[in-house]
Formats: sequence, structure tokens, C-alpha cells
Amino acid sequence: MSFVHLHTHTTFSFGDGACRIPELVAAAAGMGMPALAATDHEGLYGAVRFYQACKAAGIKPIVGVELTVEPAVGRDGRVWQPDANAPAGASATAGAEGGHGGEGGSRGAAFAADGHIRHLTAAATVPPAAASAAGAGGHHLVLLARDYKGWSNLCRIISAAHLEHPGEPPLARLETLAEHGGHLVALSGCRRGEIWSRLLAGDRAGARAAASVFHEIFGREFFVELQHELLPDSGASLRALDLLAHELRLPTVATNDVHYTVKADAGLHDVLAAEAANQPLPNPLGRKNAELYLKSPAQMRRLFQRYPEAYANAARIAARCNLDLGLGRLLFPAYPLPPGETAFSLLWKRCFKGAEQRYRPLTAEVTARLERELKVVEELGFAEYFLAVHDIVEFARGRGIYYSGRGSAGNSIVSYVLRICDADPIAHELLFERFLNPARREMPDVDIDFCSARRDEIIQYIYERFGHDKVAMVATVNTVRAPSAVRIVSRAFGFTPEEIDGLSKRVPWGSAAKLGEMLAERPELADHEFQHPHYRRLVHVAERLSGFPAHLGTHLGGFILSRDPLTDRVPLQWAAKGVVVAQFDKDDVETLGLVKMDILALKMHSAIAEAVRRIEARTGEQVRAWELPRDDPEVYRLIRSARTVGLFQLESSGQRNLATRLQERDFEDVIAAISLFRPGPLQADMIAPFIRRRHGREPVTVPHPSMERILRRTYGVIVYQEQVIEVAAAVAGFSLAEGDLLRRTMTHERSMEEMDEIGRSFVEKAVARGVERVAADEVFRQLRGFAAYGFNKAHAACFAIVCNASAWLKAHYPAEFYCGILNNQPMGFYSPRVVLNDARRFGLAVRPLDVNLSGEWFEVEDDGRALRVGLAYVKEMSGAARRAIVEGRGGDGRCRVGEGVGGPSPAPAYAAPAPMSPSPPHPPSAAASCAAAERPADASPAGGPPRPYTSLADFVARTRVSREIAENLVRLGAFDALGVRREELVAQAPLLYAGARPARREVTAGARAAADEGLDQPRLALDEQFAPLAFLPDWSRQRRVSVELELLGLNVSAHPLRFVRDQVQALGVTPMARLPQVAHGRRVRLAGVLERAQMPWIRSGHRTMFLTLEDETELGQVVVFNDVYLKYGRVLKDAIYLLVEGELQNDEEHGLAVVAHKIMDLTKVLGRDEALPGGERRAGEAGGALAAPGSVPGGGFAYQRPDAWELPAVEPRTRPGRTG
Amino acid sequence: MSRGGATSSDKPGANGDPGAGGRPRGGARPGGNGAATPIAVSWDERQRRPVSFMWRRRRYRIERVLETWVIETGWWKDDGHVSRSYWRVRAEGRVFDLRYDRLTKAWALEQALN
Repeated sequence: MSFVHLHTHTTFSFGDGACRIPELVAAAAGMGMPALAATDHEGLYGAVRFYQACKAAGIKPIVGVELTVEPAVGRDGRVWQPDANAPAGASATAGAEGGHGGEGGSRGAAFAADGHIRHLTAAATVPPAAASAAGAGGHHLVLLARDYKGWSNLCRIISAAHLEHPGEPPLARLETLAEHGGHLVALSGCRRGEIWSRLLAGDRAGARAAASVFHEIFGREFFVELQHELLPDSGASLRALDLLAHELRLPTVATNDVHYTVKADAGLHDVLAAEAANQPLPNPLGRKNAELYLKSPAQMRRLFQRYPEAYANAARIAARCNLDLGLGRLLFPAYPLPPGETAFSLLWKRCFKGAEQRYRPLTAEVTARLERELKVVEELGFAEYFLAVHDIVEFARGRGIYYSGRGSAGNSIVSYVLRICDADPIAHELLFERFLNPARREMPDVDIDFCSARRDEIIQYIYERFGHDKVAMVATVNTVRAPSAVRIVSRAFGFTPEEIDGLSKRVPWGSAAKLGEMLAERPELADHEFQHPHYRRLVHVAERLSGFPAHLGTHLGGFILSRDPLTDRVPLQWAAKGVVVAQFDKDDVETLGLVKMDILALKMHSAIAEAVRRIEARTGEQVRAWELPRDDPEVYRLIRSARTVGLFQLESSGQRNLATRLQERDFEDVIAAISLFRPGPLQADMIAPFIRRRHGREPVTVPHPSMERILRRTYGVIVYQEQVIEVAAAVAGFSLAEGDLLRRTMTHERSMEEMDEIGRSFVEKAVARGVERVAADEVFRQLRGFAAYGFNKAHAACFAIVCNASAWLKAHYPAEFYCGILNNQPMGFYSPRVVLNDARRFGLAVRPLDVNLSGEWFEVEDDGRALRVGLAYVKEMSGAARRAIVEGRGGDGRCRVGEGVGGPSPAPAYAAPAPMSPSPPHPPSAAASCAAAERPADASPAGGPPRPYTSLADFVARTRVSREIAENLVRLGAFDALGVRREELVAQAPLLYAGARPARREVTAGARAAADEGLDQPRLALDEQFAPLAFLPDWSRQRRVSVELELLGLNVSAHPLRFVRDQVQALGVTPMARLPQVAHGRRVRLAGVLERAQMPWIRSGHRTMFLTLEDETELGQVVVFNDVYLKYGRVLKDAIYLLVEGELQNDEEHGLAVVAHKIMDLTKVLGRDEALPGGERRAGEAGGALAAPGSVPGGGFAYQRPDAWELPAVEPRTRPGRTG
Repeated sequence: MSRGGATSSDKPGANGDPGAGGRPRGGARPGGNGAATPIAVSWDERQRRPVSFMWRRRRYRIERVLETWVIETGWWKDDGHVSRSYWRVRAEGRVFDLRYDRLTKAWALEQALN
């Protein structure tokens, strides 16, 4: 009789199991075992993959779990009794299903009485294996599902065990087991199971009592587990267990607690155990031998020769377990339907109502298409799904929350009329079949980007609308990467911390699993440390460890929406921040047929929303962002000028370069630009022919006339996936649905032979329709080249709409636009510093920080001609302090400074805003003002008369901000308008805080009481008590720039290169703004700040790096080829200011860029690396080029020669080595 | 003294439990190290067990294998790798602990009980 392993730990027993599922399944199948079980700790993380792997290998999957369960025998010796009086809904699992159960709260149930999930306040959940290692107060028990009902019960039990213990290791209660223990088989577990551990402790009576409890709960499905670990006490253990089972008339079963597939992998398990115990090997809690591998039936029979019944029962149990997960179904969330309606009828009504609004007038083409699509939607049974998505976006629109649908959903007119997406499929020639293919019944793919500031409202709504028990987030499984693997193994081996650190940093770039191979083959690694024999074992083990699941994370925005309580189908647990997450990743969720929606956050929406709000506040105009004209010539002029910083999708250096070549002039061009600038088309070199034809330098030809219409907007070049489908249909007579299938086939990795076969079939079909063979061959050749790289036009079109909005805003209301971008960082391609510099280049004035005029964030001034730096950018600034400063001013938060108190150049006060225009007559569209809830509208009067701050002392007394904040504000010149020089205030500031308790850092708004807040009464009118410190020299302008960079990260008073302008000019440097006028091929020199370095991985293996430099005039792109990189790459590691020598590219073929021949550190070239007198130079520290003013050792003030000045440190957006 | 079956008194605890840490009574320590006498053992491949051994110039026929266990550890060190299988056997009325070192491929008698 054969044998089946019923107790195994795959790699999804995090930190404990070392069996990779494919290997484990293959091994079991290879041994001729008819079935195999996977019983990971505390969850079903790998269950779906395991199930599929077994099915594929032809063996029966048995799914189970090894749970930590509360003791059956309490510390007081009391044995658990089933509570006969417990009402059906009182257990926490009922609570987990959304029922109220009055006792939900007292039991620590996951769901409070009002149905809301109790949110986590403590840290994230403990990984299960670590909990097991720590012996978290429970015992192990193995459960196996006998059928789908058993699977559901497992999900409920596991969910309850997790959700009832937020912030703690999961623990299953016996009541839960009793209530949901049906359709399961229970095994008593390893030596950490209650029975065996009590026997080991000498507590025979307790062991018997526990066994009786489990027998009571599971009846004849409870088995005493025998494991022969070949340890010294194994024989005795087995005898004791067997005796106990015999006495209680319980059946036994033999298992091997498999933790590694083959004996040779025992070391992996040791390493994992050492890591979990946080101890180097030998792990005192670890095993003493290597016997927990997948043993053959013969081995197991021999081990259990004295226990033949236990051996035989393994296969008998397996025969009774027959789980069918029902894969291939699609399970949609339920949508509440009004009486008399079906999902289809309701959807129909909503679609036509939407169509009337979208299409004025309604045409036959529209209605025909809508009908056709709805028919397919109905056939596929997706009506409820669309109703659910529509519900969500309607909610967003009702609240004025910006969003944009994207992805292939944009191909559908149903999406368009339901306002899920905003791209008109008819106008843009988008194909429905790209989205839903009747031949393939797959879950539709709908992704929606929401305004990041308000995404939480959407999530909250989804939970409430669909039910807390029916919504959960999707997990991701983070895997162990090479540096991590090296770190884990070297820790286990007991290396020193320095060694561990050094080794993990020296891991060569590339796939970790092939570490050994790489070391053997690559010549550049011949001298690598890892070649030393001392590390051979380390490399071997680390290699095997790579790719292991490390822990569960949360997918960024994936939500499961279910029709039934989720715990019927998936196990849930806590993730960080009080979020309930399913134990499956997005692929598993899809396999199970559950609906997953991506609710993503997009900062650009928040930026646009803010800009729109400010425009309305200032001018009264209501901008409808998604309904802006798409043919505004100003927009395209802006794009063509490549001055696209801040524009969605078009701001990157690459896109700017493309713009100089492509010269976009209409909306279709923008869609093309978004689609073409992707790795695929770049590699396939699709861009060059496109551009040539666009500008008429190449004739627009197509191999077959039927393609003319399809490709006319892309000048005969296949750019979009939709075009691939249409071409297949037009030339070879496929239906559109078949065309999509063909496209998919061609996009997957195919061998040459397979592609040839597809080609033959295509050509034959075409010829049969009368197409000339030569033409058909050419058509297929083009398809073959481009099909894999075509972009989904609907996706690009949806993006283009957002891009158009951002471009329009920049072109017409730049001040509000820049505020939006600057106030929603981090976002975009560039650092805020560069964005602000771009604003200045755009003609906006940048006004410095002012304690009486600066708002919490960037503000628009001078009727849209100026930007005022906001308080939020100040280093050390907190939200509370910002609010205190603004509210302390009274009035509308912005104060006019009287003549007398004003300093040398009082900033003009901002006029009170125009009153808000009355609300529109029709319901607000998605473009209505999006009120950012956490930003108090600075236009609204805070109440009371304006009370500007009159001095530093006055400011400190009223706002009670911390010393760091006050000093930073002083240094940044925020008090300049009040009449005392900042140089003097810097000296006085510490005295204001003398005696104040240092611990208090935060100031709560409205805390105006005196000494009990922790700040001594500051000395008022300090400047009167002390003689003016007129002898202190003014800070140089250079120094002010340094301070701005250090404390704001922005250039406010000037660009750092301003001060070396003459020297730089003397070096023959060309200002970047002038480059467009320089001839192609000329040698040029550029000087600039390194803003960004990108190194996209090109398949050919040659590394090309793209640098974005910024000088006073503009941004510029530098291309660094491999040979130059090898020579000068070192400079890029540390230098901030670069001097680049190279050849200018300035033609249609290459766009505008400089190919570098030589790269130098500008500061070195200018000879500025001598130490400053009186100052301290901290080498190699970002921000250390200049000591913080006033902080020189000895307490003196730094004296600075005006002309000896260091270019200050600037933090670039990305550094080489951390390319983005 | 010697009886077959699970209730035999020659197992560590007299009443069915392995005892804490699996330590038997009688002073013998399985899994021990060092001090062991090399012996010659004849091995039955079909049954996969030792059948007799030579000790003090006497041949002991093994009547019954009582326990067997394996110690395997220290693989991560350059030296210190231990890999041994242990056999507690009854032969000629006495209980012996034999061990086979898989690395040196040598048998040894670790201790003799009673």
C-alpha cells in the first residue's frame, strides 16, 4: 500500500518551511504517491499554487494548515468543555462574517458591534513561524480539508484566529474549532502539539484529557499523529503516543513533518530556524538531525514497521479528502437591485442615460455599439460587476473626488457612458474586443486612479457599501532577494556584523538564484570575495534561499469584492495599519475567480484638484478638468517647446526629447507619444519611422489598402494593440475577437517555429480572401515586429486626457498649476527644487518665506503672477506648528504689514479673495472643486482681526513653535520684513528659548497658555534689551542660497550656479536654453546640477545612462554610453555639479541631447575644494558643504570671505546606482 | 527483565512516557560523543540493520534492535560536522549502544548497559 504525506511545510510556512512547491509536488509524484498535503503555518498562503501544481502533476492535492490552538487543558488543569449555551452567533467567526453578536466586543472579536473593523494600533502581525518558535501560548494542530465545505471552514477558523488577535500571533479558539470543525480531518501535530508536548512534560493525564477534547470536537476524524524523527527520544515518544491512542481508542497516522524536500536541503531549514530564533547556528531550539524530508513510502514503512496501522491510515485519510476548489468560476459582487429590475435592465438604463449626456446628439452608431457591447456583457454575466464599479465612481463624483479609469476598460463604450473612463471609444477608434473577448471568459481588468488625498474616502465607502465582511485587500508575497539571502545566511553562520553588512552589499547585480553560476562564468567577477572557498557554502545556501517567500505584504491598491462573506472562500488576516488582507496575492485571487479592483492613488489628481480649486478661488472660473478642449493650440505649443515640467506623462527627460522630434500638434499625437515612449517601441525602433513619416520625410505606405484607414492616424505605422487586431481582421478575415486572440498569442514568448506557424496560418487565410501573397507576408512581418510592443490605445488615451488637463492648466493658469504640483509632493519626475525653478523660468515671481504672508503651503499672489513659498517646506516644520503660525495671525491668515513695521522691501499683501461663486445649477461633475479636507482653505477667514507678528519675540510668544523651527525660519529670512536683520536674529534666537524645557517639540494649535505648556515666558521685545548687533556682517547671497537648499530644499533667492556664472562662461559652457539654436554635431560644454540619472536596462546588455542636468536657464539631457560610463562613472557617484563635454545632437533623428565624451566634477574644475577659514568642511556629507551658520565649534560665528564660496549641496532626485 | 512490546521495562520511563528530554534511567546517555570503542559490525543489507558485532574478542549476535536515532549537525562549519546513526540493541542478554559514523564510515560501541 502506498503512502501519502499529510504534514508538510512549503516555503509558505514563512521562516520555517523549505519545500518549494514545484519541487515538492514533483518529488511526491516521482515517488508514485497518489496525493500530497500542504499544511503551512497559520494560513493557506500557498494553497492555490499548491493545488494547481498537484493537478498539473496528476496527483491529488490535499489542502490543510498547521494552526496554533489554545490549550485544551488550562493552566489550572481545567479541561475545555463545549459551551452548550452559547448562542449561534456569539463566536468571533460569526463576528468575522459581519454578524453583530452582542458578545463580539467582549470576545475580542474582529468586528465591533457596528460592523466596522477594529483597527490596529500596534505594529504589524508577527510572522507565523516566529510565533511558533516563541511558543506563543498555544499548541499546534493540523487540519485538513475533506471538501469545499472543509475549505470554507478552514478559512473561517484561520480568519478568526488572526482577526481576533490584532498585533499578536494568531491563536485559534476551541469554540471556533467546535463550531466550524466539520468536513475536516484533525491530526494531533508535532511535538508542539498539545498531546505530545504534555507527554514530554510527563503530564499523561493532561495529554489524555487533551486528546479527549479533540476527539469530542472532531469525532472519528481526529487522529493521533506519529512522527519518527530518528531522535534519541523518538522511540519512546512513539510508544507513549501509541499507548495513549490505544487506551482512548483513537486511530493513529504516520507523518514526517516534512520541512524540506530532500535531505540535502536540511541546511536551508536550519538557516531559516536560526533566522527566526535570531541566533546563529547552532540553534539551541533547532533539530539535531536532518530527517524531516519527503521520505519514500518504503522508508516510511520501515520507520513505522511497528505501527502498520498508522502507516496505512495515511493513505486512507488521503482517500477521504477530495477538495475541488471550483476553479474557472467567476464570482461577482452582488449589487442590490430595486424591485422589478435585473442587473441587465438596470445597467441598460444607466448606460443609456449616460450615453445621452456623453453624446449630443445621440447617433445610430453609438446606440448600435452600446447594444452590441451590452449584449456581450450580459452573455458573460458581467452586468453586476459594471454596476458595482459605476456605483463607486458615482460616489466619487458626488463627493467631487477626482479619478480616472484606465487600462483596457477604456476600450468600452459602456465604461465611457458610465463615466468609468473618459476616452471616447468611437472618436479614438478603440475596440471593445480588446477589453472583453467573448471567447475568453476572464475577469475584466478595471483600474482606477483616484485623487491620492482622498482615496481613503473611497476605500471607506467600498467597505460600507459592499460590507466589511465582503471586502478585503489583496496581499503580495515579498520574496527573498540576493542581498537579503546573503544577509540571512551569513547571520546564521555567525559572521560578524561588519562582515554581514559588507557581504550583502557586495552581491553582484543579477538574479540571485544563479549566483554560483554567475561567479563561475563572468570574468569581471573572477576576483569577487565570494570566490573564496570560505564562502562557498554561503553562496550555495544563499542561492537556494533566494526567491523564498519572505513575508506577506499588502498590494498597493488591490481590493477583493465578494458576493458572499469572504471568510467562506479566503482566509483573512491583519496587515499593517489595521487593514484586513486576504492571504492570497492577485494571481491566486484571480485563479479563485474573485473580483479584484485596483483602487490606486494618483498625486496628479490631487494636484489638478488643488489647481482647479485655487483658480476658482481667485478668478471665479470653474474649470472642468476632464472636459477641457483637446485642441487648444496653447497646449500643443507648450508641449512642442518641451517645457513640460509638471505635465502628466510628458515631463520626463525622454518625453521632452521625444517632443523635440515629434512636435505634437494634436491629441492623437499626444496619445502616440505616450504609447511610443516605452521600452518596447524604443527597442523595436518604432519611433524613428513614425517620426519620419509624421514630418513627411518618408512616404506613408501600407502593404495592403485595407490598412489605410486603420493606420491613417499613425502614418501607416502600427503603434496600438487595437490596430493589430483590426489589421488581422481586415487582411486575414479574422473576427475582431479572433484578432485579439491572435494578438495575445503573438505577445507571449513564442519560439521561432511557433511564430512561423502562426504566420503561415495568417498568410493562408489572407490569400484565401484574395490578398496577394507578397502583401500578406509583409503584413505579417510588420505584425510580428510590432505586435509585442503595441500599446493599448485606450490606456494611452485615458492618460492623455489627464495630460491634457495638466497641460492646459500650466498654459493658462501656471501659478495655480505649480501650486498644485508643489503642494502634493512627492510626485512627478523632478524634485520640487527643479519645479520651482521651472516656475521662475515660466515668468512667475517667487516670493520668499514671510511669517506674515506665507501660508502653510505654496500660495498664489499678485493675481497669478507670483508664488509665495509655503511653510511646509521648512525643515523641522510640523503640521501643528504650521497651523499655529497661520492661525495666530488672525484675519484671513494672511496679514498686511503696516508701513512702519515693514523692512527694506515689504512684500505686497495679498488682496482678500473674491467671494465664492454660487453653486452650479446642475449636479457637479467630476471636475468640480475637490476640497482637500486636511488643508484648511486659507481663503476662509479664521475669524478675528488680522494681527501680524511684529517681531521674533512676538512670534515665539504667540505660536510657541520649537526652537529649531524658529531658527530655521529666521535663517530663511522669514522675518526680514519685520525690520531686524536675520544675522542678528540668529544670534538672539537662542536667548529667547533659554530656560525652555527642551523636550517640547510640538506646539498644538490654540495652546496659548503660558508656562504650563513647557515654554517659559519668552523675553519680549528682545531687540530692545540688546543693543543691535550691527557689527555682524551680512550673509552673502551665496550663503543665503546654501541655507535655502539646506532648510527648504529649494532655490528661492537665486540658482546656485548664478555665482559662478562668469567662471562657467569662461569655460566655454553653453547655457542649456541656447542649445536648440546650436547646430547638430557641434562640440559643446554643459554645466549643471545633476537632477536625475536613469539607466534603463536595454536588452543588448550595453548600459546607457541618461542624465538630467539643470542650469540657470533650462534642463538638459546628457547621454552617457557604456565606454564613457566606465571611464567617468566614478564622478557621477559623488559629484553634484557636473561639467560635461560632448557632442550635441539636435536633429529629428535624435532630438535634443548631448552625447558625453567627458564628465567632470565642476567644483573641482573651478578649484573650490579648499577649506574656508573659520568654517568646517564635512567631506562626503550631503548638505555638508557649508557648516550650519552659527554652529561653528567654539560658539563663534562663521566668518566668510565673500568670494571664497562653495557650491552648496543639492540632493538630486535620483542618484546613479539608485536609478529610477 | 526483558520483554518485548511497548510496555517493556527497558524503555526509559517505566510507565509509558519518554520522560523529560527523552532521558532514560540507568545512566546511559544516547547521543553522546567521544569515548567509544571501535568495533567491527556485520550488516544485513536486506533488512538494513546490524546483525552482530565483535567486542572484546567475542561475537555478539544482535537479537533485537530496540531504538535507532540519527544525529546530524554542524554542517555549516568547516570542521565539526557530525553525522552518526545510533543503534540501541539487545545482544546476549545485554543492551548496547552502537553508533555508525557516516563521515568516517566506522562503527563504534558507545556504551554497554546492564
